[in-house]
Amino acid sequence: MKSKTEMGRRQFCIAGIAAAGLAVTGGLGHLAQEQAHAVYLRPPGTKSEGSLLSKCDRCQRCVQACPYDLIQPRPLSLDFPTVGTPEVVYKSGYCDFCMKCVEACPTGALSLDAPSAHDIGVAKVLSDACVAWDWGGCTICADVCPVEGAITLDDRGRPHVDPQLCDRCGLCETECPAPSLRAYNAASAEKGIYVVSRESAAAALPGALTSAEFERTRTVRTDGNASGQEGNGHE
Amino acid sequence: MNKMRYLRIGAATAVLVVIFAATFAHIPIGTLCALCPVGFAELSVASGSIPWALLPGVLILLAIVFLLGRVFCSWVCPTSLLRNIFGGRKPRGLTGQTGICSGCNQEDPNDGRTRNNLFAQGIVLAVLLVISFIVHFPVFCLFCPIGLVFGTMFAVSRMLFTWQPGWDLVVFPALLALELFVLRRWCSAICPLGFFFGLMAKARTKLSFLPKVNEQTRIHVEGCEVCTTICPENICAATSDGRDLEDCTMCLDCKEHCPSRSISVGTAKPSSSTQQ
Repeated sequence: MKSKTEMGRRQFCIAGIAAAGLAVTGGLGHLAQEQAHAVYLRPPGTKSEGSLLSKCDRCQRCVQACPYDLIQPRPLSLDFPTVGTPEVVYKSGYCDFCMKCVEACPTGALSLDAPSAHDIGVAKVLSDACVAWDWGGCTICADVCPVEGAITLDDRGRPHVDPQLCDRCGLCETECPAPSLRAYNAASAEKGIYVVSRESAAAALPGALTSAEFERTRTVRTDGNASGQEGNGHE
Repeated sequence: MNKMRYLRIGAATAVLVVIFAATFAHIPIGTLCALCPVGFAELSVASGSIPWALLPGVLILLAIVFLLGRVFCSWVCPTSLLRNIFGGRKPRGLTGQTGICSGCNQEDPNDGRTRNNLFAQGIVLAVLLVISFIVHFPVFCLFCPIGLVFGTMFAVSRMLFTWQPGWDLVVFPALLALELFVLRRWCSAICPLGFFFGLMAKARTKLSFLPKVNEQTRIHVEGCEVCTTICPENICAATSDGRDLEDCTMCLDCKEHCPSRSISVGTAKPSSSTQQ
């Protein structure tokens, strides 16, 4: 009998440690979220970062459903509570709004009646990575863009994105040839055009951005400390 | 020899392979997380709305446990898969380093074994639900060994197919090793999934589809301790009562190794006799 209670006590001890660990993690996770104040490019049908994080059960159904492999589980980062939640990465294709990810979602984290079901991102041109910005001649993003008027070329042949018309399909980002046309430069981004969340500080800044500006603002929520970080960057 | 072990490894691996293949075939079946009762509860409190679409899967999983016992634990759970492959199935001592058979020097080996502790698991479940409610994200999913196995799988595929190695590749396996091989009592004292399964097992022991012992051929009184020693839950099948068989995960190692072939799995009532 004695050993039974003793063992029970040990189990309670372990359970207590686990519970304390969970509490600490919860607190740290909350802090990490406040600190990061982040927004990522999410699949269509996302209501908001907060709603996605509280409703997503990380079952990866949307990841499996995407016919173009655009959705990836978020990797581990300092903003660790977001690990495993879906993020859109335009590496291998573009979004044609088939909504299979939304249909696959069993929890309502992605839902067709979200106000922004089709409208969660916008393309941003990077002035120091875009080839047309330096030398002119490259018109690929404007050529491939399926939405008329979403990407226009100015009189010097430089692309500009109309944030109202852009539907963040990602075709421009997928097709941008900058990495193969430029010599590798660690200081500038790979591609000349990227899609970011509409809630991000990068989307809130007007016009083309430099790679440095873009890196600072692409995953920072617009109502957050983006301006503060920008101030630091200019020093 | 060890046929059941290889069968279990095969079954759990097959589940992982199917899920991984579905990822490449773009069939949205989801990982095991889509069936998780803990995830269901966590999301309900974290988001303040009940994800009804998850409920059928959760109920099917619980129904399977109700009908077949905690088969999930031995045959599907990736945690058991890792333990079957790397050893460490036996949860003994705080870190699993003491003794061989904790109950075998006692009159009834079942008195000394580590029982599945519903209260300890219940405490963990209650705490994680409260925290998920406060911070608005499912906090246990960050630790869940099942989720970590899938996280590792996706991290590996991310590295292999798109060359994006990350800290996940180090952190996830390290957490897994800590949970499975250092805190060996994870399953019996922490796993909140085990809380739901334990409740189901409690409800079902009366139905019973369980290992039972032929009292004519058993050689327990002669000192045979094979089933107790081989059982990951240290259940002595010969003297087990309903409470002991609640912890049975239907791994069938006892059936395979019993020297007198006295153990069979059936639907009759388990032997309720204690020491002869």
